[in-house]
Amino acid sequence: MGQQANIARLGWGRAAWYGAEVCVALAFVYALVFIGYAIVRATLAIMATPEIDAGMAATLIATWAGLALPALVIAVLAAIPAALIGALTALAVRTLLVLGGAIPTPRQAVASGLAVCLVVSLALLALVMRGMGVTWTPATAAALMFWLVAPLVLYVIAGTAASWQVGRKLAA
Amino acid sequence: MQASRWRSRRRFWLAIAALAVALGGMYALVIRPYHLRWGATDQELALALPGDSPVPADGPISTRAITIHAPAATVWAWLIQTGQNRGGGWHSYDWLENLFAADMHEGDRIEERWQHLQVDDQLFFAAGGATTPAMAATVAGVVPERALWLGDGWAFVLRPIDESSTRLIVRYTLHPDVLVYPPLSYAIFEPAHFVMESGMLLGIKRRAERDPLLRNGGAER
Repeated sequence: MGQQANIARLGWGRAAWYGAEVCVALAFVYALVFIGYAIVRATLAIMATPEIDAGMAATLIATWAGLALPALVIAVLAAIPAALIGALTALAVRTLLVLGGAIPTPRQAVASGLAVCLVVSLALLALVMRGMGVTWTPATAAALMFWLVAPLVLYVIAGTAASWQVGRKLAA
Repeated sequence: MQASRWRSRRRFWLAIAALAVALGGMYALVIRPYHLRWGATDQELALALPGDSPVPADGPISTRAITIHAPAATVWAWLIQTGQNRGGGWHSYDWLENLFAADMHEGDRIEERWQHLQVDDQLFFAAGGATTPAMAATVAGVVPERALWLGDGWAFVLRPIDESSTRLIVRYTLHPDVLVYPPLSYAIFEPAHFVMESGMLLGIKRRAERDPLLRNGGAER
């Protein structure tokens, strides 16, 4: 009864919404981190150039905008699959908690979140590497790290942390 | 409690939407016009350049320019070893290009083997240029030390100011269908193209001015 009461506090819809929100936030945080990194590197290169006739300050601002806009638009586009993955992850974690057979503890929630996120990550890696025929070479390493590995690592960390938080709330 | 949380969430998303509209408007009205003519004078905007289309373009045209304190021969030497398959890069932000598997490894010297360029030569945007036509540009015309233009409406023109300074002018016609959904070309490709092309002009300037007379083969002193 206790388990049912606790789990009922986190309905299917609310769980899916929470998972979607976490992954959408993650997409934007990743984009912001990239923008910050790119702005620093581009700024250093521009400032190493003497006498820019278009003006140093204007060139810097225009370059920052030119870096930020595509990254944010891509983040908006990425937010759609991210929301879907987040919602499905949360539903899978909730299912595991229901099947757990006891009142879910934070530790169980963390284990469930970590397991689901790792399975989803490995499935996505397999889909890209095998399904799409992408191979890990020196030429593709930076691209795969940026577009696939780093986002998946963040996803696993965020998914586990969110599950732990949910577990804490349910145990309270 | 629930209602107040919902209201604050709604206010948050409304604020984000308002910020996005304001930034989008500022980009369209202020930054984009600057992107399209970075460094170019009114006279250079009106200039007819090799490779200009005889019919009005179906997309926006950018004209960008920079003054380089080096003779045209030096600027030309750097310009024509452009390409992933030639000097190893486009003199721009190769760390950014490599996030798209471009495999750029920019050399830091003028190399004799890349000092010959002719019509129909290919300049790769990425390592896959040999097999994927979209990843390469074809040379459409070459006037040594004066102009290089590529098949997709992209011209690089050198105008000597005096014996030790050169104006490098670049004109590009954006084809809105470059991405699957044309509006995305304006929001993604166009600003990204500004970053990479202005980065290229700045990169050529830095390299050419490092050793304007090529006393050391263009290598870093």
